[in-house]
Amino acid sequence: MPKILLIEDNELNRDMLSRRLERKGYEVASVSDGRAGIAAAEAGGFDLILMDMSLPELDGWEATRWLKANPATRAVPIIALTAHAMPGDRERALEAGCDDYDTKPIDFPRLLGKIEALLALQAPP
Amino acid sequence: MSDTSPAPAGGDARTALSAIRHGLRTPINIIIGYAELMIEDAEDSGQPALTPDLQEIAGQGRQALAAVDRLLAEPSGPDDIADRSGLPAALLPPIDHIRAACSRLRGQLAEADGAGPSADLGRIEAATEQLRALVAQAAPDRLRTDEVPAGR
Repeated sequence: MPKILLIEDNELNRDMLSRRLERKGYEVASVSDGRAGIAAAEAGGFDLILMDMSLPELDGWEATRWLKANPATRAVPIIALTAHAMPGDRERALEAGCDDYDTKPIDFPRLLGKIEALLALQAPP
Repeated sequence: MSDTSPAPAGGDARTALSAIRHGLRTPINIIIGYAELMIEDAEDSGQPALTPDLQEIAGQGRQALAAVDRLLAEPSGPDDIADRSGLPAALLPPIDHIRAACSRLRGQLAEADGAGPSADLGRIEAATEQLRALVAQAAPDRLRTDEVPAGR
């Protein structure tokens, strides 16, 4: 069962997205700020990270740069999530090291497709 | 009446616009997400009668999202100020449709098991009221917070 780390400061978003992903068979752990996200990711065991970009303590861009600079976590794919959805946000997220990007409100089938595509790249042949 | 709340120029305008978009899209995300979650729950638990109103909520949420994206698009230049005055006219109808659908769902859930509305329905209702308050803040000359437009 693939394990996803959800880094999201909004409690309702965490609850809603976790429940929807669990319904699809994923194991989900969630934290509410960038520093806790880095600590959780470094502890290991995650197949993919969903990263809200507007986070307290340490925002999603900085947390992503940190994780992608760390040999222990750089291989874990990160999907950026943001409700700002401004032109250029996608490019900024990819420049920070995110592997993909999506906007909130979540288009759940689209997000699932991105998750499955990145997990397929991780799977051994 | 024209927009009376000009945004700051340049990067400040973009930052302000981004913050307003984020503020409005966040409760819309809650509305759509929990409605879709409740649809999945209803299908799994054999309560298909709830689905039409939940689909109405999700659909009206998507209409509200489209209006936010249309009215709060990034300015094409420093003189292009986002006109927030259209937000109430565009967002209040879907908000009122969502309120009505929530009210019907409350009744259906009470009749079905007598347990009252689910926690998730309460979350949708709270997000809907938050969205309405944000619309009032974003275009204060168009809507008093206690005003409920008739016929919406």
